[in-house]
Amino acid sequence: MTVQTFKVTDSVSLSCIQTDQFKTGILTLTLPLPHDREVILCNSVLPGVLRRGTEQYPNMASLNRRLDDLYASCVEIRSGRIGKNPALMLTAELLDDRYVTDGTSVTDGVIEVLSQMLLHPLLTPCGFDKTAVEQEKRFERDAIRASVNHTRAYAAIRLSELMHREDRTVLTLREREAGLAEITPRGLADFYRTAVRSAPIYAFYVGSLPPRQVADLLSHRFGEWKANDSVLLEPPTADPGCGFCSVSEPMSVSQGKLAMGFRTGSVLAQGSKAASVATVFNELLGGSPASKLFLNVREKMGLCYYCSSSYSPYTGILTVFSGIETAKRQQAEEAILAQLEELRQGKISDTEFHAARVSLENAYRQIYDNPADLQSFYEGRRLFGISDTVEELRRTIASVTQEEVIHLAKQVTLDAVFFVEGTLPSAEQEDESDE
Amino acid sequence: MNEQLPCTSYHSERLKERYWVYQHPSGLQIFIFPKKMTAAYAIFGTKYGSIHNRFRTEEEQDWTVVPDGIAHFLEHKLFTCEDGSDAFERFSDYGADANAYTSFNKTCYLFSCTDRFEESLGELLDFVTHPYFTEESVASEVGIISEEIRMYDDNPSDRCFYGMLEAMYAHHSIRRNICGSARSIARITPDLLYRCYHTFYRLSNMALVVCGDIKDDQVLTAVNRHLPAVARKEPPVLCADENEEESPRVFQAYKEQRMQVAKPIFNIGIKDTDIPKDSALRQRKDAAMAILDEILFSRAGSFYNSLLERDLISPALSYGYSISQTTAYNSLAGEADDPAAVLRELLAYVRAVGSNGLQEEDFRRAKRVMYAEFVKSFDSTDSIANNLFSFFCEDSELLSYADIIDSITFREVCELFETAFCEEAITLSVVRPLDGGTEEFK
Repeated sequence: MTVQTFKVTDSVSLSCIQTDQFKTGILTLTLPLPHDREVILCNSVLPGVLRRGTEQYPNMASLNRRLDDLYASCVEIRSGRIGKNPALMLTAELLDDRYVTDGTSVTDGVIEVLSQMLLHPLLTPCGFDKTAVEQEKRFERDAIRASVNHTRAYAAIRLSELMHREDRTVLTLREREAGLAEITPRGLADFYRTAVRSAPIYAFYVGSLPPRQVADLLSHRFGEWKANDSVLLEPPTADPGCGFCSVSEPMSVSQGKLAMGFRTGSVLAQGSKAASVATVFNELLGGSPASKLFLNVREKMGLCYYCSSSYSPYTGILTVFSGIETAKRQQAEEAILAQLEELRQGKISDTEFHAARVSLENAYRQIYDNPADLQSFYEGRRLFGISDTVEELRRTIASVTQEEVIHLAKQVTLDAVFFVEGTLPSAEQEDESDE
Repeated sequence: MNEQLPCTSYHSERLKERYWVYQHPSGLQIFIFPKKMTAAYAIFGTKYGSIHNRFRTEEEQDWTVVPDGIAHFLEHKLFTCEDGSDAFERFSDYGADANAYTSFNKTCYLFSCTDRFEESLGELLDFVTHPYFTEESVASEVGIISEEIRMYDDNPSDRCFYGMLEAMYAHHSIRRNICGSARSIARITPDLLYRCYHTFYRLSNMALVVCGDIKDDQVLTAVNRHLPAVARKEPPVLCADENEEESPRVFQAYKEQRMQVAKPIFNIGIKDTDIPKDSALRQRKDAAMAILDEILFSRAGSFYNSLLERDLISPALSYGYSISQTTAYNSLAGEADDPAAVLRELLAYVRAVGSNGLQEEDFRRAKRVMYAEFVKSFDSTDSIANNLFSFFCEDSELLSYADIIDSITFREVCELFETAFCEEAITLSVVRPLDGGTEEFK
């Protein structure tokens, strides 16, 4: 599979993977935004407002009916990040035109809906509709507050807050909620007219249509889109952090959630092997059922149901998560650090190293089987000018040596720990004590 | 296609898909679904889940009752081999990604791989057919499963869903957690595990499903090498038909729990005890009810948009119909300051639709949505294999589902609507914040 990239207009570019392997295609539009606190706040509410209706489809019901008529096309609009950079992201999942039974062009229809949302939202000279903005602010507030509903995800958010506590553009849950009060219908419209409408659009398509045809469809619907100046994307960088910190928060749940954040110092960069070494390191530590964390902390010590790690090549941060009995926090933390120490000391068996390599080989080859995975892999790299293909990355991963992994392990530092301290006995224990 | 074994072929011109089912002399059914993908996916599973905890053979008079959660416990323990090794290690060596899961009515062992398929398939067939349980290994698993139970205990959505099942059913085993409880798993012994294993892991109760760029002979050679060539003669196993013990009425109209949540979450459950014994009729009811739900509750419809506009719900509202041999229910789940108000709105809406009738345009759109969603499910070896196995458990055929959706008539859906929302069959399960007041439920 090859990626073809072209300029649709001065403000819209398109990358395509043409394939008839899938029944579902994917089309994404990514609009990078300035790296700024106010932008992040406005961008948390704008997606909901844009999704409520357009000039052609004046309310949510009519917009959703149109998408259902387009064979249950699914359009998601959300605030996200490209590496560190805030972005407005639209993702459309669409039935391939070959499976349409009545001649509808789903791809054209979906591009029309996307253009309605971005070019023709319901906007008056006074701004967006006040009721809509206020309701979307309430939804966002509720979503922020609902973070506590799922303690594993909550621990991940809080750990990230700790690791970025000196970065003004990474807002805490509290700051995000407090910041909602600053958003007004007029201010949100100003944000849309300035930041969003001046952003370049990076489109990515995976599906059976010829790239030229997709480009023509985009050109037809987005010909009037004018990016004032291109937003400079900050490339992936490994922040040094600002010193270790550890926070424990009691919550009314029965299971403790341990989240540990490490800095590897290794990020994606054109021509660099560093991120591949960190990827292998992560796989050995906690990336699979053959990893040290799974085999030792879960299987041998029976401390948890899950204990795993993940690595972001865009930030160089590696995180370890585990659900444990609150009283066993220290034991679990020590056990996790002991596995890291094993790697530092080079205690890696050939079996472990082989398992990590083939597990990654398996995972990367499977990217070819999923349009969203293909898009995610290539789009992130393309925006930062990294030209690796999946094949090239597989070869780089295969060339990583144990010595390189050990060298990296010695550079890895523990940056922050966040612990959800479960204060409840489990429902089961309560049940038993009642008898 | 291999011609040495009895084989049935299934094909859909519309979906441009085909697959074969071989009947192996061991009693095992083998599903092979060719798909030009990088990853191959295999499931070796049994029609045995958490609800099958009261059973007997045809020759026995008395029911055997086993502790809740034993099917799930068995799934965990089967990975431990007699030589002390763990099957995961060998899958890791082959580069395969292995896993397993237990649901209400099935247990599946699976792997996906992009290389060394035959070796992984051999390992899958081997470890699932060679149980080895000891007192020590059973005891060592209790800690891990206890943490799994705690994890689900802390999940409000999970607790709210089980609250709905507990309120809906008075007796049915579906009301009990798939993992069991700390108390029930403490009663599990190696003998009980062997008893369940030998009852439900007979090859005639199982299927092997393979999806990927794989040749039939690759699969059949591995099966011939790792499984017996003849079926064992065993008396059929009977499980209690728990639907027959259930009233059409819900057990409780309201169930409330308190947890750490920001605002109340809810599950509205609509119990359905009218379950056709015939699998084809069951599948047809499944399709018709899914279309009806899509008409009534979709984001394009008036119910959802009216609730959202009036701030009665948060944007995420999910809905769906589930039917199997002994359970069936509709459910709506979401987040609301006043879940009882959502239920009142639902009842008023159903009454209004009853008076005004369903709209044929909505019916056509719902069918189109159902068709598209079904087609999209054929884009991954993972979803194809899991869907094939689910259809096997229901004695149904997968590809014909598109034709069934197509054949459902507007009149059929209208008739179904007439009986689908009896008030006595509706329950509301709510998880409220720890510090929130109790709303009066009427």
